[in-house]
Amino acid sequence: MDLSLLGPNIIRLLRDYWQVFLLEGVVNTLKLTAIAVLFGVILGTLVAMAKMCRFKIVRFLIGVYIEVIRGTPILLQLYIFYFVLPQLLPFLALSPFMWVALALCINSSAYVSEVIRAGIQAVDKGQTEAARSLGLSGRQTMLRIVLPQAVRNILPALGNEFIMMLKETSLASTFFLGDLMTSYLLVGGATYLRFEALIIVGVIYLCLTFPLSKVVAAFERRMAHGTAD
Amino acid sequence: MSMKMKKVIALTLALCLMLAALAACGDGGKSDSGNVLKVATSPDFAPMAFVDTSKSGQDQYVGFDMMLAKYIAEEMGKELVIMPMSFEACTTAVSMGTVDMAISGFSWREDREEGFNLSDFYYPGDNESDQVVITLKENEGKFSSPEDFNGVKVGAQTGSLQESLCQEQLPDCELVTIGELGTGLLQLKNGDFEAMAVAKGQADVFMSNDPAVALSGFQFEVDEKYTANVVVMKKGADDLTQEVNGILKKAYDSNVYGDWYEEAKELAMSATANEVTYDDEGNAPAGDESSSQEEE
Repeated sequence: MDLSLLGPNIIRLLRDYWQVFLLEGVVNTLKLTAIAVLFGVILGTLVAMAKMCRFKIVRFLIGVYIEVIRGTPILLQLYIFYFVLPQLLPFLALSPFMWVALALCINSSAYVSEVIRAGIQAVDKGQTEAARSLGLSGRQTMLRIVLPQAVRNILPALGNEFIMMLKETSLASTFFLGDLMTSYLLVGGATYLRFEALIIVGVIYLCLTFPLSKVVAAFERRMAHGTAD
Repeated sequence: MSMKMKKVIALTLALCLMLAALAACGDGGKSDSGNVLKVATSPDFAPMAFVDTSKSGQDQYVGFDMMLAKYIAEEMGKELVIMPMSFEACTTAVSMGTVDMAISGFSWREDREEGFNLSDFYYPGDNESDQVVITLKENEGKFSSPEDFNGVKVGAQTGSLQESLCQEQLPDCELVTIGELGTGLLQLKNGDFEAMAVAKGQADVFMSNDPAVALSGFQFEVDEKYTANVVVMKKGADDLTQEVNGILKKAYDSNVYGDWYEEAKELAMSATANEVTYDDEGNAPAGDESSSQEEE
């Protein structure tokens, strides 16, 4: 394979299209990721609470919600949110960007809720028993004893969810929503220098995820510091 | 009832509010859907539909198909809204009713005719009528008759017009199917096959970007049926189809297709190859890191 033009072509694409990659691609990717994870965490907390509530029907329904969302491909969910829901809920009048962002939030919420639920349930039962026998109410036990310990399990996992979501936003390029993968499609489609565009986008994704995963790993170490076991 | 329940409800309401606020600060849903013509396209296919990255919003979608879409919308007296999506998603959008029509270089196919209302043909210049075979610069003009391709590996996109043309007109070539054109171009340069069948319009864009690519000297003979593209509409949308056919006829009669195509192609080439000059070996004026003096 003749790679002699690869370098010059990449430089040329960067010179002519750097705004497309950096200003549009990176910004939109981060925007989608931030929206998805932020609302995913809020919604996921509610879902996790509902999953642990005492009504059996609620637990069952939430179980179905989580299984359906975690058991189907995210691309399929995007199609449903982009094509089907706007017709079922015409009064919402969301832009395509918002529909896709919403789909990512919902998707993220299912994963986050399991992270939170698992984090809470991983706290030893003896802690609750001890707290209750010392006279703390159920509420106090949750807020003061269980949650502080659960956070240690939850936060690093949330960091990983953020990295996962950052990569999954690339599926928004199915609808050309301006994320990094869309930049690849646009530049590659206009210049037919697809391989070169792909390399540029790949390097940018790595530049985004690598420092993030290092931060998460460092965080994980800190959190692990001071556990009983 | 309980405090807990109330809290959950309050939180849910707050969430709804936040989503609503987000929706509002998004660029606002199109409210006047009555007078809007929504067209799906896959803008990664120069010179038919691509994006001029120096512009933004609806103006950024350019190319032959976009000029046609604008023309159709104007004739219908509607405001054009381009909805970009992948080629596969375009037809889904039409059948779901998300868009009124898809204009994205669709060629006529029997299964398409069964699933959708297709318009009459429109003619994007030589993009479809001229089908050529490209090869590497060193083989330029080496192939002039079908016999020259005997035993030669020729690449063509899976399920494409080029694939069936190769099967019909180059029966003794060794056909290699490729997924996507950009990848095919890499395979060609990699030596996976010696030649590759593409539409002339694509070949022009390839060659303007990559001096290593040249015409082989062979051109397919193309049946009228394949030389044109169609607009894809929902099955049963007969009134719309008729209206579009009327507009296409008017465009054809006023001879605008040729000009549009030239304009689109020029834009595609200038947008991609600006200020790049190549020396006679075909090398870009690279700084110090280039090195392509291997094959002397």
